[in-house]
Amino acid sequence: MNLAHILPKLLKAAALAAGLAFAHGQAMAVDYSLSGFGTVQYTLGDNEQKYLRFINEDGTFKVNSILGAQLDVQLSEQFSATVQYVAAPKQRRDEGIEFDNRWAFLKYKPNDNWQFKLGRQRLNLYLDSENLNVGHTYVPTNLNPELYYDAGVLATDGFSANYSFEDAAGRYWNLQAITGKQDIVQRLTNFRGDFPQNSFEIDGISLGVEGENYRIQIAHHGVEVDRQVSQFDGLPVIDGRIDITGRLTNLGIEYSWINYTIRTEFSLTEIAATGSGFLAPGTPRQFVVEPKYEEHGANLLLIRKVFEKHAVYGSYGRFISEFDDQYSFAVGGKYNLSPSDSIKLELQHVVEKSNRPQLSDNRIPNTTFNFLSVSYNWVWQ
Amino acid sequence: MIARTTGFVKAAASIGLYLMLGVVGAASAEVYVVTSANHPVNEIAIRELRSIYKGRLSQVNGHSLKPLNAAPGTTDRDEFLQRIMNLNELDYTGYWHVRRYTGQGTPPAEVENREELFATLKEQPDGIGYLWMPPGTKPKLPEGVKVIRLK
Repeated sequence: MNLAHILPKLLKAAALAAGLAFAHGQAMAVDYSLSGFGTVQYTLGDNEQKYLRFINEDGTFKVNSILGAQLDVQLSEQFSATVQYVAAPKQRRDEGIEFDNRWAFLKYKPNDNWQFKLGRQRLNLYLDSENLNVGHTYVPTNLNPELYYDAGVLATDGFSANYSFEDAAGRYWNLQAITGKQDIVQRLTNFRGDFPQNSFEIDGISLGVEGENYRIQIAHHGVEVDRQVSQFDGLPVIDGRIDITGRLTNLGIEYSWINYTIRTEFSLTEIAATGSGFLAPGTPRQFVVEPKYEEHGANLLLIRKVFEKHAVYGSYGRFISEFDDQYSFAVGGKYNLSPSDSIKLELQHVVEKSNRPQLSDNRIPNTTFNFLSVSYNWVWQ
Repeated sequence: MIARTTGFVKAAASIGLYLMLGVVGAASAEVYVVTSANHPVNEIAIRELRSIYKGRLSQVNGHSLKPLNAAPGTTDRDEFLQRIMNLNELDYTGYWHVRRYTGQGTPPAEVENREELFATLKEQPDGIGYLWMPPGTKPKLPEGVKVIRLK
């Protein structure tokens, strides 16, 4: 039985079951809940080179802007299904909008401690990884790019087992093990046409604990990436392929007291890649490359509550690897219009000391990007 | 010396008892937790109640309890969130927004008013809800609905 072949069918079955339940919810006596969320964000930069795919001096609505709908269906006491679709800027191209499935899983919850999910689900890498599409659920306008834009993989089609419990001191613990596969788009600068896809196989565990005023999460995931390549250093390649083994280790800590919240996150990415193939045309000549390197990311976020329900914040993030070095400062605020909608404003200053093709089109070292973001965020249910 | 010590112990005990009653009283004298009269659970710890309304607990002593929330903006809900959950509306709603969009589940069902709460408890024997009453007053419950003691 091949998981990769079974999963698409299961995803379709989950979507079909949820759709049927929604259409005939009352008649079937099935509980369902339809909800949605959205962000409209305008970002204006000061550089003619694009940062985060879209930001330049022309201004853009494409950063973080999204419209989503989610259907949660309680099929029985122990079984439920969740399907989420979004309309958002395309991941495989810098132009256009796509209608994309972000969550689709069946959940079996035999008791309060165990739950098992099968299908498309988000990875628990960072503190806001799973809900990063829902801008209203966190304070910053732009989640720290040095961490949140680095993982490359944020979801998987697979299986997860979760064990959670509350201890005698009232701390809530959650342990998750997950395995799955996902095709991930790798964005390449100035690439004409669809960006290439990598096939990621992912296994990981995460452990989180929540107390009255703190949250800690540590996660470790291993990935195996398989990618066919058709060129190397600009030359055509025959039978080219790249195999990458990666390990992602993340730690997030958040602590709140009275009017302040401080949060810090760290990431360590270890990568070992093997590339091989035959250069053509002319005399075939085999090439083999085996780079190994580490990438380190970190951020620090300080939030100050204002008038009990609004917030101002400042953040610092840095990313360092053998090839890249970037840091950023941001200050901003979140004004809650109601418990379900908010306006955010942020000024961000980024210094790109080397080149990061995942994040910007810039090729000049020590380039700065300054930009202003304004967003309206909401959820409805 | 012994008499003075005994007096000190009595005074300390009185203060302790007063403080204990005060804390419990603040939570239990004004917020009443209600369920179907046929439900076997007669008392519940405040911590269990908080976990039920956070979606982390669905059973007490092996008996299912499904939470019902009062509608946002009602006094019942505001007092319950403040006195029992130690949260305000923004934080509680925010908690459920995150929970929903991280695939953890959906928030408790809501009832518009007390009449709907009582009607729901009669139809749904494992439902659990709450009422807020001003100090010195007690709720008038219809037949088939009972108060669960907070411990």
